[in-house]
Amino acid sequence: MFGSLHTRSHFSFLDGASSPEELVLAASQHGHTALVLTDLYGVYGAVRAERACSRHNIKSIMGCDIILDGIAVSLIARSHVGYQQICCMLTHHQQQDDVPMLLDESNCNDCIIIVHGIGHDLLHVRGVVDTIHHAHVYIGIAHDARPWSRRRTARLVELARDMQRPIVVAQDVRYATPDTYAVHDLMVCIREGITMYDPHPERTVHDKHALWSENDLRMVLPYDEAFSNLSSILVQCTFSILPEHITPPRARIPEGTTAIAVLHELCAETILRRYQEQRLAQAQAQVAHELDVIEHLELADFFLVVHEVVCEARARGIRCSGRGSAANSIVSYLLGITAVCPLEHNLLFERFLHTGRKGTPDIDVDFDSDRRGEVITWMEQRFGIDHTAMTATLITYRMRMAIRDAAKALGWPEDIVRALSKSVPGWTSKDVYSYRNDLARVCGDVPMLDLLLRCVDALLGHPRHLGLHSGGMILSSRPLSHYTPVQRSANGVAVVQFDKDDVEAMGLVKFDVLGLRMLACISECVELIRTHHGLTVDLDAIPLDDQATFERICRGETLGVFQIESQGQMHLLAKHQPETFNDLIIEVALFRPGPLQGGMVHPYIARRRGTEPITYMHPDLEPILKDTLGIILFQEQVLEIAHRFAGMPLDQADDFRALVSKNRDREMMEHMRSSFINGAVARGVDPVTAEIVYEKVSHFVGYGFCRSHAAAFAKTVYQSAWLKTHHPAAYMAAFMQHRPGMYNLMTLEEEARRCGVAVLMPCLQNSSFRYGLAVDSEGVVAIQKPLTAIRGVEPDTARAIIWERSLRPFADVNDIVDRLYGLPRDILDTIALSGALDRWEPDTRRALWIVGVIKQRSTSSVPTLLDIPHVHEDDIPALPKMRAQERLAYDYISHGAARVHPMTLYRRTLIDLEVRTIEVLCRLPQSSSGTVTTAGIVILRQAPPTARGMLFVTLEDETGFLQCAVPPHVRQHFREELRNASLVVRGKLHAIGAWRSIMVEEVRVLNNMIGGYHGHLSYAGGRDTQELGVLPVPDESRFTNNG
Amino acid sequence: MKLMLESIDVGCRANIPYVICWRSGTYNVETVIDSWSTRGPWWTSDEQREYLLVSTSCGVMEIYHSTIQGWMISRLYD
Repeated sequence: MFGSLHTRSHFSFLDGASSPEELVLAASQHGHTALVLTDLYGVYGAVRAERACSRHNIKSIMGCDIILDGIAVSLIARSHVGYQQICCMLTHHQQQDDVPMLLDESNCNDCIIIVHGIGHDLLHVRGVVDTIHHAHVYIGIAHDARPWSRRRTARLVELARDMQRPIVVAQDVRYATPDTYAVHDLMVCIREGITMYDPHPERTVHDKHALWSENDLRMVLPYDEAFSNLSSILVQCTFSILPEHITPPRARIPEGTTAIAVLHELCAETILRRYQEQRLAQAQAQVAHELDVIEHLELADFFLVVHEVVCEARARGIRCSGRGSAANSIVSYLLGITAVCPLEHNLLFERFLHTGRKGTPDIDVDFDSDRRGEVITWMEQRFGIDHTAMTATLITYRMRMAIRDAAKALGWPEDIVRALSKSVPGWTSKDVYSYRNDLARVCGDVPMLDLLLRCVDALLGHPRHLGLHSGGMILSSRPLSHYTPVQRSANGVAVVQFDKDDVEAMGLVKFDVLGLRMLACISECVELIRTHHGLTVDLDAIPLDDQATFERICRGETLGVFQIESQGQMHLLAKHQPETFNDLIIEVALFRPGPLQGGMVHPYIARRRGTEPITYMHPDLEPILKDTLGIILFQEQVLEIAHRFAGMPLDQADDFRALVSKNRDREMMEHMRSSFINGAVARGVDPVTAEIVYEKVSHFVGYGFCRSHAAAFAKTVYQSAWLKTHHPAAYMAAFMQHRPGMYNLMTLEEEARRCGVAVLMPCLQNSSFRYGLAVDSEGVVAIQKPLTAIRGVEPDTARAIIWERSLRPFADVNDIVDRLYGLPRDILDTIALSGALDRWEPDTRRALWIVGVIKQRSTSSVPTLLDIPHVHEDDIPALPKMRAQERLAYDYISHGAARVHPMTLYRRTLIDLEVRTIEVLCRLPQSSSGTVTTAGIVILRQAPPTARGMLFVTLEDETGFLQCAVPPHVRQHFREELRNASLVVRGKLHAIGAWRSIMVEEVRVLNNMIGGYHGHLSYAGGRDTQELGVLPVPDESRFTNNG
Repeated sequence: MKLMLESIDVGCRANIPYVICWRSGTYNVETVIDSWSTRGPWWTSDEQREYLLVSTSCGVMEIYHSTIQGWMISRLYD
């Protein structure tokens, strides 16, 4: 046998330039019969290498490289035990702050050790070999392609003979083919932080770190013994890391019983509570079927473990909700993992599990994002710190990062590097050559630009480093270090060396513990309602047909509502007009790339509104597509059509679903096409219809929801809409606290005001740590902004203020500055600017002056012994009153939102110019299709890739917000104007129900129109300069904080 | 040792030189003593050189094959 024994892939992170797949392909072309992957301190590429080897009929062997006293040493696993030993050693090494490894029989007896001595001083090599107390230590010889290489190799061979250690051919491979040499050299420059003009010992001046053929190697290394030892090593190392079975975590089950029996028992207990008599028999039959499948797949333990985690979270008061395909299962529903009844919503269990399923199923559970950490900590304690770890994600080079790293390595100055990386989008599917003009605008059209483009192109897609998956927690019955090295991320989280696909291939079970800020928002809202109104809201028990809630949804007043708050969703709501919970499920699913790109939205809406007849391509499709009016919207429907219409077995139908939804490999699609059509024809469908149905199904591209996921999300949509409708103050306060949505704070405060809820400015006496509620004598509720909303007031500062005021109330500004003597001047200034001292000193300018003087006069940083105020009334000069525009600007600067919408200041002039408020536009009848002019502050700018160059700008004024669609030619014409923060737009009004939008024809910058620059006719006259009292600010003194 | 840098003709069998023609003389290669490679800076030229140190009937020669220049003799050892 022959193969490369010392091969680093790009998983050595900037120390290898080819993927395992590329290495395997090149090895196969060179006639190798085996490949040993030895990445530096890791086995990251193990799964990919084994899969690629299996495709090319090459033996895959796993190992890793470590560095001992500056010399590379390879550990190669002889068996699965050896692989476990490597994983344990790497885990230990990486969790113990990279302590040097000691290699001996006790920790790696089933491994082969190769010391790569070429290029090192022989005494040094001897020293390293002497530290390894192991029976299988080889001296690796290689051709390093530098002058006198043969002489150095001969000396190394002499040393090996002297030490009575066998020699083995171990050519140092860092890339698959010589062409990749330049990429590797670039990576070395990036890794070492040098430019390509700098010499460095790690850089090579040849391309001989590619894979060699046996013949070529024999010519430069004339040592038969080394080749026969290589063959012997390759023969004796035999194992696979891809098992046939899965390794679920072990559930806590009483002695003498089994996991499946416990599962039966739990389901039997709950089913009677959840189902009435008329559906009980159907539910019991479904449970029996699902439990059979779960038993067959040996997943009973896994279900019990997830049940245990969910129960523990609920017992701790942590809101959680299952989502994804797990919601297709009645067992998940009965165990409390998901909240949606699969029978009621016609959810297909086979989308989640079936006996033909390969790999482990995904169960995703969202937890209150504020308390997700508690759940993870509990899981680590419950299942053992050695049995739990997070899944990794591979952070690969994307455009910006590649440009930054490559430009630095090419020796470009830092400011140019920064400008270059900012000139391309963060996420793009185009290649770098498409951005040549953008880059040339920064650095000029110089020859080096072409080199940069080549370098960036070569780097794209290569792994840069390992990241942390958003929630994938692996639970295992055996210590994880038996399967994978476990390392610590930068923030101390245990993480394995594989991503989710590799983890699944290894048979490990992953449970997605996801943090959802909307759940934190809902929890906080329920808590505020309980505290301030004394009501306990059971969201799982609220009726799903609340009229007021659906009316709000139909009006599109959904800013802040989960999943349906975007402008696109509001537009869709206006057309769709959901009236039932099922409509909400469909609403959530409609606004996805799959249905949008597949052109399924408009036909569905037309059918739902009765303007188009409901038809089916074939009668067999009616039961599958009936509830979506003949339109394919859900992944389950694709699976069902493939299974029931085209007669595919379930596992093949599931593969088909995955293929059309995500993968769309052309060759596989062609194969599936013939299977689909032949299957349908065999069932008696005529070929033309089969072809039409296939075309329709295959258009279900991109990401579409599965029905269960949409149903689980729709529940949260409904709950959040219900809370906003019935408890707007508590809901908006909680929403501002957690900010789960897409709008900025100022828009949220405006939305609260539109809901009739006043927002009180931060106050040093009343504000708390979080957003709270304040109530006046008539029971009117307002939102009290917290201390932490003030810029620079970190949680520690807020705690210090609350701690101090809990001793006794602050008396005046002197008292505040005295008692908070530890606070720096800039923080106190911001507090004064924010209006948080208005209670004691209503004139902000005076408050700011007093703070400044006290801070200047206090010579020591401790309070004075005698109770003498630092500032007397007589000391304060007559300061000019703060103007409204100053006040609002300071509000915005100091706590992120003005107390009154800034457009109020422009209104008088705008009325003169016949620029209408957004509220007026919303009141215009649907029949009015004339040209209108409006103005506002830009709160959103979106140019979705599916919109064909259209830009959507959302403007907001003091009366509401409105979406403005800017067609590509207008966008191009007013490119500079559209970059401004406040605009005046003119165009045709479009109206659908309560929804209004403008198709923009002309754009002006608001400041230019009303006088924002010196010399303009209306300079300073355009803005109202009235004092604050004239503006509609709520009287804050009538509210008390009863939180 | 003399620096030469002259063009030569080399006959190879299985990629190993066996005869060198230089300045109208022909020299048989007895053994290949050493070999190494270099590559020019990848961002300017892409010249690749395969050096061979060979023992011939005329003495030890350092020759190389360049992807740009072809076969060259670079040094002649006394």
